[in-house]
Amino acid sequence: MEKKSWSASIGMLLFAGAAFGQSGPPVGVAPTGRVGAATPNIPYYNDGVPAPIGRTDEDGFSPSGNSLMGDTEFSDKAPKASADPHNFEGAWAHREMLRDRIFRTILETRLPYNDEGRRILQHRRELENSGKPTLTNSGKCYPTTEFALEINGAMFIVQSEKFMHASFYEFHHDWQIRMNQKHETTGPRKFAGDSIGYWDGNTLVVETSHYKEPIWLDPAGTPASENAVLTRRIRKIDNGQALEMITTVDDPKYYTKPWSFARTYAWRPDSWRVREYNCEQQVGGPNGPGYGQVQEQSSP
Amino acid sequence: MGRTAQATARSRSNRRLDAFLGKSAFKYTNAIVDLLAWGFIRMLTIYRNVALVRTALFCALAAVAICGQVQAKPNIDGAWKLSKPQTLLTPANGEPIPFTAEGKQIYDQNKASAQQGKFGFDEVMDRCASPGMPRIMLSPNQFKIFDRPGIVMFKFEWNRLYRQVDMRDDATIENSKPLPRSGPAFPGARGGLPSGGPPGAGGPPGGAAAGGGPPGGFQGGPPGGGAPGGGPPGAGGPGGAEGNAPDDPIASAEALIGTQMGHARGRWEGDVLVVETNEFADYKLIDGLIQASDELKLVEHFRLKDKNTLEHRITISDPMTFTKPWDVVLTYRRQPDEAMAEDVCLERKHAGKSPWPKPL
Repeated sequence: MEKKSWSASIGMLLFAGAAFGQSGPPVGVAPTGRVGAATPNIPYYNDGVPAPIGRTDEDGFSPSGNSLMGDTEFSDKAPKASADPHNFEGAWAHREMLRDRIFRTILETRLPYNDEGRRILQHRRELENSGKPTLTNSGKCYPTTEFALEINGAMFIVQSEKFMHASFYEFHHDWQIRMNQKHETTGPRKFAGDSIGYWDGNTLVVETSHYKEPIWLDPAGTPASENAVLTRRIRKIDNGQALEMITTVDDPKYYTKPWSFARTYAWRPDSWRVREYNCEQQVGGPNGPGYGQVQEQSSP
Repeated sequence: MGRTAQATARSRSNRRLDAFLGKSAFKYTNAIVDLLAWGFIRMLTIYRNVALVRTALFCALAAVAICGQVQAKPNIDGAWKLSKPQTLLTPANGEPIPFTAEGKQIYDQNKASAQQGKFGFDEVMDRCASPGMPRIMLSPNQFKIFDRPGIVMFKFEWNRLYRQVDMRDDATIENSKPLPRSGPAFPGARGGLPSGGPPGAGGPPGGAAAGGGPPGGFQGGPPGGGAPGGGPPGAGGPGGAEGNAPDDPIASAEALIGTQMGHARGRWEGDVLVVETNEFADYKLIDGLIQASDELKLVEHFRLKDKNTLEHRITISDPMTFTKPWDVVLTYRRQPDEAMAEDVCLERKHAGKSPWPKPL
């Protein structure tokens, strides 16, 4: 029941967003002076944000309906997630339709880009439209928690007193969360940033910062800088059979104010054995990363 | 017999015994009757005590057995590292590796290449691909073990790889499969939200996924190929839906072509973790030089020798490569439970460092 009401709420929010014109169709002209010269084949919304084209509809959903979950059901005999709200161990995967792009905040508003944020997003769209998409860390099999959390494939969580690890099928990524510890301010920064966590009641709060490089928050290139702070509040919902993750992005370099978005991940006993993704076997060779692709310039 | 009634009978029998010893002969008849009654009651008491002792003994033995079972599963959780660095597997019995002619020929070729500093035969050295099993156990970095219900997870610091040993029984695995779908081939085919979506918000029919997967099938698709629509370039479209659904083409393909880590299932036998692994990819290296076929099978025995020493015996069999199964014994030392470093093999390789310790 809880699941249905949650889904219905999200659905109503989206419906309300569309009905009251908070999104609306692309207006087709790039507002010059805010994001630089307009590119004719890129539609823009009236706030200057390039509209998603090609891979996503205007609601940010992938046209292919790229979802793991949908209405997948299991028998009553299927193993259940632990009843302990502090125990996230096991296999989880996206419960919602995947979005190639985080198009709206949890409040159904547009992302509060500043000029720099719009500029870099436009640059990425132009590269994509020119047939030379940007090379991201995911394309190089480098660590990227944000990317792994946004695309399909299961994650398997294990916990100990000091650590929580989420192992992703995608890019065999490992999201390591150090529990009840302070950020590492010395030593080399990591591609995946530094994640520390603590329990706030039954909600796990994970703060990730100190990234080695700027990151992509989704496959479409929603930007975040290396100094962004991502705070994720993760808790069990639906009688413990799903995880809700609300991420707050605090990054003054690209956004005028902090903003949040939500995702849910369903318990997936059928993904107990997360598949093997031998990422480097594909891209690690002589014709690997960079082959036919564009390394993004930091200042386009 | 109730506790009160039994106490009453016992005191009565004692009184009757006293009466027997202290009364006159003419009362012998009664005394004999009393004696028999006392004896009968005494027998019942003794029998009951024996039964109690027997029950207690049984419980004690059961408790010992249960405790033994609990204690038999040692705590292998934590961080471990190979006690002595090595890049090649050597038989535990000190004898030569029992190569077949073909196995020896490939081994010799690889050895000659390695001696010349050429590692084109080795995808780990060449491109940081997964070493798979059992080579990943020779990792120079630490790894962590998480022994959890239904799974034993190995997390390797080296390039952030993981290995899962499925500890579930057959029934649990079967029950974990999703129920057959009554709708379209995959959820996206009907578009819109999985549930509770806005009226009329259905998206276009499902087609090829953004990651380059097969049209109309599961999302994603087998690894390979870029994303024409602009998906993560280079990484290709990794496989889509997880699961062991009977209609899952990726699961079938994976079982058919094998993987580097293989398919591992395990069980505890007393204090030993036994793991059997098969379904390996063909032509994979099991160490820096030995190439095995897809008929490779491993039987592993993990035994905690002491709190800080983990012994790992691997029985390797592959009739294409070896004339008989042979054993390797690796030993790991417990490490402090600290955070794992972010190891990025390709970054190291691009910096001119060796992805993996050279075999020779």
